[in-house]
Amino acid sequence: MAEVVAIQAVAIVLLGVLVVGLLRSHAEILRKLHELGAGLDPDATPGGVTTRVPAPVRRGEATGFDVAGITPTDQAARIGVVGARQSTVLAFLSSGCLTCGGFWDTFARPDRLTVPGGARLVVVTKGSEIESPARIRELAPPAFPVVMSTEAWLEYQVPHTPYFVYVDGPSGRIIGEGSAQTWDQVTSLWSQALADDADLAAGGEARADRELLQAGIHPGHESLHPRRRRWSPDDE
Amino acid sequence: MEKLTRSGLEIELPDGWDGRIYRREVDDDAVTRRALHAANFALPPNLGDYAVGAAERMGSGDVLVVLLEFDPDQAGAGLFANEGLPTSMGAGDFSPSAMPRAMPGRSAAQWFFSRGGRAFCLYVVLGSHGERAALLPLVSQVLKTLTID
Repeated sequence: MAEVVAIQAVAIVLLGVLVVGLLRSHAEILRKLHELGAGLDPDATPGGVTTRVPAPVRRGEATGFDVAGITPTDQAARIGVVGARQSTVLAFLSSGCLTCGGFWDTFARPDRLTVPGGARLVVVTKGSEIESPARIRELAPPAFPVVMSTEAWLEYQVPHTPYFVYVDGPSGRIIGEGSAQTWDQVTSLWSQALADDADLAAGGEARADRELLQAGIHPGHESLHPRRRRWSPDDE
Repeated sequence: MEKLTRSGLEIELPDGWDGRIYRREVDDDAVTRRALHAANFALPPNLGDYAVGAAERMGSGDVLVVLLEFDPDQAGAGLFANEGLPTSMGAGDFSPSAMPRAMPGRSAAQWFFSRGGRAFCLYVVLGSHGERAALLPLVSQVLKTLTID
């Protein structure tokens, strides 16, 4: 009898350890999913629990890509993002996510819309193998280009919807990217990213000034303002 | 240079260029009639075939290329008697009065031709009539890559 009780006790302890292990594993999975941004869309959390807005991600020296795909009206389209004169905000949206619905509505009223830095707004959905062109056609804002391109989602490594990427046109550099629940949050996100970028640029100029001063080159130094040399036959 | 391909039309677009290829809406849908827009500026959505809405937004350094396919019954005759894309395109071909509506400073030119039994119109708009000689090479660079099947 004592042996049976002992065996049961050991079994209970082992089961307890197993249950604790499974709970820890489950908690770890949930934590990782949260870090990856899963659950940002209230569709995934009935009741529309407010989730935090991730900080803008900077990809360092990452450059953007042109967006190529099909429009909801079945046009083959290429949007010049890299090398364009203006910057581009790419809004990666889907037809199904509840948060995206707010953005589709906002983009339908362009008179109330401000795009930071005067950038061009382009909406990118997944391709017709995933999204219905008819549904996207219903949602498409008349004032902004909408391109259906799963390739663009892969190239920009879009982790979830909605997701926004700001690409500097002339350099093709990705200034910042991230997610938000309202357009006001997006503009705040990009204003911050653009300000950070301007600070970085200003820092670079200050660093160059310091290095010139250390080399004895002050403002007004003649090496900074070389006289135009006249051509002479001796140059031949 | 990035390729844009659709329905037998193909064009290579330099960095920063927008492009679209689509089927024109016609009464008789038994024959495919295609359209192509290419521009070195941001093309707005929902343009008409002649992309007038884009021409209205052009700056002085902008160029717009439009290729439209017409009724194949007209190919090889009259307006469409010339075969193939225009090989010589000069500043003298452009005129401010060739614009679909008055747009001060801008300039445009049209060429009609046939290719493989199909009738086409090439319509090019430049953002500045005064700078047309400087802008024309941008157009030629892109048109050299255009293929029509």
